[in-house]
Amino acid sequence: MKGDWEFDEKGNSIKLSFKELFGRLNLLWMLIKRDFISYYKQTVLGPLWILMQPLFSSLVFGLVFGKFGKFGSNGMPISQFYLSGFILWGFFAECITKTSSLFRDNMNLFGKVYFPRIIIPIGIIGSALIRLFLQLILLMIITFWLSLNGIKFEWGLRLLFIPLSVLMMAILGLGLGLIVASATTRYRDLALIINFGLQLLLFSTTVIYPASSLPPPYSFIVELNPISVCIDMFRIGFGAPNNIKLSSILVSAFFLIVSPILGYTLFHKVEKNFIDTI
Amino acid sequence: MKALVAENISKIYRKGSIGSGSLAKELESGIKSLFNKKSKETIDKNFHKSLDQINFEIEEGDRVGIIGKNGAGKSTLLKIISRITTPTHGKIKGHGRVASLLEVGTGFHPELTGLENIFLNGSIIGMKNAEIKANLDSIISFSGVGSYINTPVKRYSSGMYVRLAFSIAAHLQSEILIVDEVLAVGDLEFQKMCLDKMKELSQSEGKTILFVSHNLNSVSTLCNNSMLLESGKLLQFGKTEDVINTYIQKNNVSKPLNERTDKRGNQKIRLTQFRWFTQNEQMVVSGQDTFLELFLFSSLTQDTSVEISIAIDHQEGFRISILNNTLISENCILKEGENKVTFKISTLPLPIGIYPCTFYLSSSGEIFEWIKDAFNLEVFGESYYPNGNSLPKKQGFVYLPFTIN
Repeated sequence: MKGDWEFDEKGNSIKLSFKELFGRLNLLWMLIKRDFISYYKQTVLGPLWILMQPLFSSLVFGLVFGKFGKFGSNGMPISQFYLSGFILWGFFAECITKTSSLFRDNMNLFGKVYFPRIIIPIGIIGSALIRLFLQLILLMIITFWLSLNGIKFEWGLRLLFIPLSVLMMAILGLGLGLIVASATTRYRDLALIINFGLQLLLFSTTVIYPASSLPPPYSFIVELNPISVCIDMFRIGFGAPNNIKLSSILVSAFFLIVSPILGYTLFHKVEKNFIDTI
Repeated sequence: MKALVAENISKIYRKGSIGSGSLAKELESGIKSLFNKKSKETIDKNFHKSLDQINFEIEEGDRVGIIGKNGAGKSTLLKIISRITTPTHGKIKGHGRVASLLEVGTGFHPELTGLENIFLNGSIIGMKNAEIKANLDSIISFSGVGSYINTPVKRYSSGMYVRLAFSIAAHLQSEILIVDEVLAVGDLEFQKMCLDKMKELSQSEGKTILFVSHNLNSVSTLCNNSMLLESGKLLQFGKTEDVINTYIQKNNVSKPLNERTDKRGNQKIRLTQFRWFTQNEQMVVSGQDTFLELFLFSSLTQDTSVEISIAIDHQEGFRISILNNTLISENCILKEGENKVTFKISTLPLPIGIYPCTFYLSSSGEIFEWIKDAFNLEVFGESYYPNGNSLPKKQGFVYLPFTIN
């Protein structure tokens, strides 16, 4: 299997060759495996942490905002409302934090030899998806248990909202993450903003309260946030009423189209010689 | 068939911290540049040409050495060939997959075991798991890490690291193999093994090899062709012998041992390799315990008791001292084949500099090997006194241990 290649100041081709990516499935798998092994090595609870994180966040926020604060839960049981919110939020937060630091985290791979660089962020999304899937099983079990205890659920087409909202969240996480990743190779400031920014963002989305619990101008802003839209859609899959507004959908569509394109373009621009500057 | 063709490659770096600073600085310099246009002169000052219009063609199966002083652009060239950074101008065309060994530790994930890292590295250059498995045994046995293969590589010594890294790079299926200076980390025996392996790979599999080294001995044993880089320019590309000669003339370093024609002695026992090193495998620095490892090849069938002498000269021509086993009544007996002898100089008392060494090997009047200025002892730094002071210039050529009461 010999291949001819050319390399000049434009770097590797910006065109994504699906044939080439397909040939690198093995690398993708190794990267995901590497991520899991290195993440849970030398921990006592190991992969159980995947379930602990959303469970404990839901417990704390559910008590403070749902039980004591009486923010309401959009007609869902409180446990389900908060767990579904934190599962998808955790997925987004993981995609964006890991993608945004991908250049620094993978220095020693990038410094080795050529491979299609986009594999790295795809691998990040991949391993986040596996964690999400395990958490989803937990949520399904809880939902099933609730339905045994007298709370009604209509299973059916609305379940399609689950994969759709996950896909939207993955695209947003990847797109925004790539933009931040490319910018941090020049401006380290952004790396510092990311963690703290995510904390603030959490409070301006519908993860910890339904938009309907806020007074008018604020509820509108929270609803416009594409992350809120994804989370609300996700909850529809678990029986919440559909009250997403058209304006929110349009804003999300804009972000869903622009962020991955901008992110990939910047990523490609930076990828070709970031090794000189980082 | 050409394996690599470089057309007019240049690489220009910006000097200083422009562009890599913080947002505030960036805004500041942006605003400044709005108001005063930069003259062409300041632009030239701020840029450094790491590579300057390099052209070459490398045939498939060639073993090419790249030599030149530090900062000549050797590593930059390898990075461009590995496609991890782009040239500023020009183009490189390649034929086949590239495997590289650029810096110790690249491509390794510290938390993964040696075995897992083998699979990770294989998949990076595009191999399938089955293909990697087929090579697994030879990778592990060549690396010599043995039972440590299931240990996370973060617990490896730097020597084990580089042995495994080389073994992976050499055994994975690639058409072009790039090896930077990393082998210097390993011991002499391993370096020899690597050179032999690379030679074998190019002869049996037609692999093209690019090899950067400061060790002219290694370059001349391995490479049929070589290129000489000097401050970013390709000075010469041709037969290794000629290129090394140019380099020696330009830089006044000693010739590789196997190309010396001025050897005296009957060669029944000869010096094949040597290495100066310190305890922690760093550069030789005054004040540190310093070791000289010699590889002596004996073609005599019986064990021979020998006298080994290394004379250390000052560059101005006078002899500073000698290391000689008979001086300290140490008996050196060499058996048939390869022998390893290690001399130790405790707290090296010589300041920074290059010291030519003459090598002499004999047994009861019979001279086996006698090479004037066989190799140099290069001292790169000084830390003789614990407070870090060094001898003032022109105030002596040797450190004396002293105390005051």
